[in-house]
Amino acid sequence: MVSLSCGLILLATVLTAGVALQRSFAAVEGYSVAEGDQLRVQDYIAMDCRRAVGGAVANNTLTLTIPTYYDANNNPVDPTHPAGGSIQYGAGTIPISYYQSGTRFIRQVNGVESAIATNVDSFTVTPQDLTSSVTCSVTFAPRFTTLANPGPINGTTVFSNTFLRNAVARQ
Amino acid sequence: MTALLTITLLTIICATSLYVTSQNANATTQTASWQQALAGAEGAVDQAMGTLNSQTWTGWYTAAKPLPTGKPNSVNPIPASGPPASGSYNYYFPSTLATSSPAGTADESGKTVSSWVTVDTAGLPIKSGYQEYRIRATGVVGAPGPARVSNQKLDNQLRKISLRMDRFTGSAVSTPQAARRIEVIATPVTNSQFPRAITMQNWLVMNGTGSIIDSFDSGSNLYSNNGQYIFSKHKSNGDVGLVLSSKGNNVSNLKDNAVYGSLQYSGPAVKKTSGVKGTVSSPFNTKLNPVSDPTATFTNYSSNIDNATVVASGTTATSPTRLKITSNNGTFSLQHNFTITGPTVPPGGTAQDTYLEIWVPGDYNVTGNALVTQGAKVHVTWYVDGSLSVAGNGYSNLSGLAANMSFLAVGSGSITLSGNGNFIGTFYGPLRDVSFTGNGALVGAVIGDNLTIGSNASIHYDEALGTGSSVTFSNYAYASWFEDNSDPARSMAY
Repeated sequence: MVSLSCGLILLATVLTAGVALQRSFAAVEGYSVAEGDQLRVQDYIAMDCRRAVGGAVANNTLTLTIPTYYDANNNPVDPTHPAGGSIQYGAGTIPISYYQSGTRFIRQVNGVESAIATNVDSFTVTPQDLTSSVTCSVTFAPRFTTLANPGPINGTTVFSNTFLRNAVARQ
Repeated sequence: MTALLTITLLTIICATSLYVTSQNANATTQTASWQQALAGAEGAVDQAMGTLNSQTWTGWYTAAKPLPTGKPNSVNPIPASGPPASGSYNYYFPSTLATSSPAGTADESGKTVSSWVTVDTAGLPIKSGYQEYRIRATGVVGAPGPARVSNQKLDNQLRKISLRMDRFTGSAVSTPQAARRIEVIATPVTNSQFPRAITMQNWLVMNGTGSIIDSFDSGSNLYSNNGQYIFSKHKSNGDVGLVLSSKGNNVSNLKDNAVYGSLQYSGPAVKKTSGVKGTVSSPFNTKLNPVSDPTATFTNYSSNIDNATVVASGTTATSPTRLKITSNNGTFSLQHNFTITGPTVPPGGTAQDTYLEIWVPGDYNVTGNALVTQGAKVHVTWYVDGSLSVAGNGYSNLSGLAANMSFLAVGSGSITLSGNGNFIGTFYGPLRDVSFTGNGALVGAVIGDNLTIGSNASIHYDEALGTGSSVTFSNYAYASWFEDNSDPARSMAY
């Protein structure tokens, strides 16, 4: 009887510890995924802003245009510099848009959508002069919560302010 | 039995947790490596820019084109003796790369950030006598952990970690690595006297609320209307530089006026800068040499200036016609008209550019209905020792080009631009108190000790002042920046 009781207590302790560890693991996992989402969104926007030759903001959508740097085989092309103009790669430009679609954060390249983050609560791109920098903020809903809804737990908002290098490049 | 099941269940859970944790660690290190590789690539760009500016090619090597897709040749490299010719490229990499793999070994983070950079002409033009160059820089860092794609699947489209194959060369890699590549076009920049719209030794105060400071390029129809400023084609390089933003009680205040450009300053924070569209940064420093009286020989001009016509016959900027106003005690105080023209053009001929320097030992005062008219092919430089007061409608620069007309204000004193007309030209007086009192515009640039814009006057900086043929080389700046994030083997470009 005594040994059975001890065994049950030990088992209960192990189960409780296991559940606690799982909760801790879930929290860490949620944090890891959230960090990954945030870094990915910022890295994408930063990379495209830095190489953009133009930008526009409309309906909370950030649209950047980047040079047609690649040929049909995805190999880099040589630049040209026409008199009185700016550096050119290939013909035309490639539009890249960022916007929120439901809980997904979308990066659209030349009309082709791909989600680059999920669990997005809101996206705000601040209309800027677009000749120097772009400011964006993305709020992610909490991934780990004991409540049914986010409720009083705030989401995480990440800000990015990226210098548009080509907009201020010398010609 | 229950205990056994429980332990088994817990073991499975633990194993799963450890596996997921391991994957998370893998994703984290790959992300970190990806960021580190960018630092390496940007550092290599800096290396190349520094070399182009110094033209010291020590440590660089040269090879015939085409450009390598991966690390340049490190076996018996040929030292570069100068910038690359059109059929070759120069390259630079740390000496350690000659014998070791660029990828780091397994560690908690990338062990080594390596980089290399190539410089070639890429068929780019020569500007102002100097070649433009393409800089292609690559930063590489080891991605610790197994050759396993990130469990953050969305990461794999962005962070193209080379797990088995180098994404740039297609060749096998012994350990995972992150590589990032940046392509920059370096263009020569001239040391123009007017590299920005406003340069002041001290403060800038704007009292109106409707002023616009922006830029255009009279040398390009993309950014001008046949060389003339028009807002719809304006640019955003109307920069402002303040060596010291305050002096005594005078603190710079832009009053939130629109500045389509950047603000650089040193000293206390400039007030009300929300209208600055570009960046606001500190510090700022530049050397503004004061103007002295000219030392060349000038011909005295003792006639009455009213309704007079003078001919600019000097055919080069270094041998202009030189006149010194000696009438009216050396003061240029105009009541009616003063015309500056070029030599008479023979029938069938075309007017040539001619140059004139006028030295005014006293004050320059052309306001009211007085008018100075400068011919379309004439370049005029005024040296003014006394106070300088001009109305926008009091000077007609028929060339429409700010580069063709400049006021050099000697020593201290004042410069006043009044009226509602547009004045096309430049003011250079580093010791002068400058004030704009009307609602007109300066189409050109201004340099002074301090500037007060008392009304809604605007300044439209002509970028041709910074790139024209009369200015000389200063340094290289980037004209284009692009990060190559493609992976041709996976048919991924942008």
